[in-house]
Amino acid sequence: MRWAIIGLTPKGSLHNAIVVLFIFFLPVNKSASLVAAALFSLIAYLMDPMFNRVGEFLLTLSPLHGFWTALYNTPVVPWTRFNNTLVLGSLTVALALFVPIFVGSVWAVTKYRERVVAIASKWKLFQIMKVSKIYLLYEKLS
Amino acid sequence: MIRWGRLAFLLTPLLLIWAGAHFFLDRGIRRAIETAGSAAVGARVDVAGVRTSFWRLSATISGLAVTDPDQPMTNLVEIGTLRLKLQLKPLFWKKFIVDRAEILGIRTGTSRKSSGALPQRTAKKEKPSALTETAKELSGAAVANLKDAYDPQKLVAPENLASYQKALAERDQLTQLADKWKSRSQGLDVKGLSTRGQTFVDKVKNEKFSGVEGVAKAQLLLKEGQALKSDLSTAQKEVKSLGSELTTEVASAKAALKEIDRLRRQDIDKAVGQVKAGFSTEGLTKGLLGPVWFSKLEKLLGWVEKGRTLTGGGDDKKEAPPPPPVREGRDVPFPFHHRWPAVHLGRAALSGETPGGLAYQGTLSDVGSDPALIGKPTVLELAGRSGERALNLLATLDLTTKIPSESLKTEYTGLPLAGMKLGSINNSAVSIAGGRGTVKANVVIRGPDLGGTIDLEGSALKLEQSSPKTDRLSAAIRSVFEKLTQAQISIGVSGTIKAPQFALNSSIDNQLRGAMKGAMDQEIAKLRADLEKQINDMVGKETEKLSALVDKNAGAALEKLNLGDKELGDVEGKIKKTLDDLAENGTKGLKIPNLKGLFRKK
Repeated sequence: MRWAIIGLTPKGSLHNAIVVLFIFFLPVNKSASLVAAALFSLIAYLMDPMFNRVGEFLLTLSPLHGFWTALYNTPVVPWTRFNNTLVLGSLTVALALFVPIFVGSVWAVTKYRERVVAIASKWKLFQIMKVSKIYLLYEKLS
Repeated sequence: MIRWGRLAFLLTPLLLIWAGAHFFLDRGIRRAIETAGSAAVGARVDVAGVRTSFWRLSATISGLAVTDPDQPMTNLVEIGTLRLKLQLKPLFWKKFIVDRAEILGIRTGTSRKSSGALPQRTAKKEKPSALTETAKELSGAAVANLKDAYDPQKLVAPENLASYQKALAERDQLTQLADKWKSRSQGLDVKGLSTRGQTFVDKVKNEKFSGVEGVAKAQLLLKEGQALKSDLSTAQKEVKSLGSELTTEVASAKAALKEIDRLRRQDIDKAVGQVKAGFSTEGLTKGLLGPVWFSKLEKLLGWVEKGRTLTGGGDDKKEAPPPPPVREGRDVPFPFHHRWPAVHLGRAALSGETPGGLAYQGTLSDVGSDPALIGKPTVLELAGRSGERALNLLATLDLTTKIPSESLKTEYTGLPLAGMKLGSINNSAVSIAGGRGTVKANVVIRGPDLGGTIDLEGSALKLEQSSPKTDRLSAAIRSVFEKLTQAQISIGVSGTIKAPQFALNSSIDNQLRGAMKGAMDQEIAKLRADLEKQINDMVGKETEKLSALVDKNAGAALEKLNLGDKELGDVEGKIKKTLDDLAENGTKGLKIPNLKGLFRKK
């Protein structure tokens, strides 16, 4: 799910570096994260205009002006580029989609394991791959 | 139990971050400076090395070379070392504030080992500015005038000579006239009338008149005589009329020949006048100095414009902001409790040397991304002295208000002028081989408006021409240049940045005028003689031919008419006598008509 944030938001932002560190430090499936980041980057490319509009709306919303000003004056926070329409818009959308994507992903992974992995594990090729050194290393690291 | 795999996995990203910063940060900054600099300048910007210290928050940039976009083999400016020290606190808010910096080893106009032109720049040809065009026009006009004025082939070209054109026009007309005279004089049947008269006289002499028959014969002869008299009278009138016409036409033809001669002298005067007008000393100095100084000013104005654009003070600011790029977004500003712009260089100590080798020191203060927030103009101060040479420069770039303004006050005494290239005269490049000068400039730009003066005083000057020509003009100019050792040049600057205007005044005008007066008079006298000879050769031949044509044909025709007139007069006399005799002898005793007064002239 964290890779979805990286995929959807601009890569040079500070929050992305924090997310990357979290992914490295926490026991999550790295390969699945990489695939998710690539996939969501493609989606983000198509959705940038929408992210821009969301960011513009939030940053220019009068009730939030004080909040943004306070954030802007808080040390280190400006490095996150939160006051950029694309950064804020994409991050907001990514966070909003966090729960639906999480629920959807759990369901999809369960189904994948039940239907795809159960069938594929019977294949010779799959069994050969599973005992290979590369796969063992992948298992160990992830 | 330590899980080594897990530990390694945790340490790997930290190690990667450290390695990236250690090995690639400097290289990245260097590449960023080169890329951004090249885009801003329009030519290559090279950096020899960048060294950053994370703990000291400092950066040292060495070997920064900015190529002159107009001369890719020359550096506009070269900086030996640039040291910056960032303040720690503003960095937490992503603000890069440099209180103190050092910019050392500044040199301008140094040569490059390789071309600094950008590939796309060569492909994209920029439209020449109005100033460049003016300078080229100025230089071209002066040289073209001289070339035209001193091109004898053009000056005596048949199409430029009114006398030659008149001679050609008259040649056809006079030839036709001469043919007409010839045919009309030949058309007169003087001989026939003369023969008829002589036959009549002989016939009357041989006739015998007696009796009534004799009277009848006499009457017939008298009638015949009267008819002959009438024919003779008509012929005489025609001869006289033709003679009169011919005399008028010959006079007109001779007047045309005189007109050709007058036009010939006029052509000579005009050609000499053209030379005098073409050789304008003002035009000469403008062509000589204009392009050099104008191109320097153009560069200065170009940098002012670039400075305004880079710091957001240019015309672009007034225009509506472009829509934010979809892939980059827009930064929305919020009130900030510190008065820090995104980038601010408080004060930098400068040192360097001029192209002439004069070392100078100075300061550059308050360069920033938000001049209005800084509240102070950018100021550049330079000063240097070495023996007779001294440089003082104060330049300000004030973008703190809505109307940007810049000013430049400088004085450079003892400026070595050797090697300075000037314009060209008569296709021969002129440069300064030796001498020193003092430049004083006081230029102010406020908004788009431009004003000020630039004065240059040159002494111990030595001018030289490359591949000097051997024609008289070049020799005359060369002789002036050889004597020219002092010069004062003043350029008045006005107009706007985009359409500057320059008024150039120089003492060279007067020196050229004075020094060249004698030489020019002599040259013009020689030229007049040459032109006279060439024009006379060309027009004189035509005039001679026409004169001969008129004389020959008019003379022959008039002679013939005179002879005809004389012959007709003789015949008339004989007939008169014959008729008198006839009246007296042949009709005695008979009443015959009174013939008295028959040949009286009416």
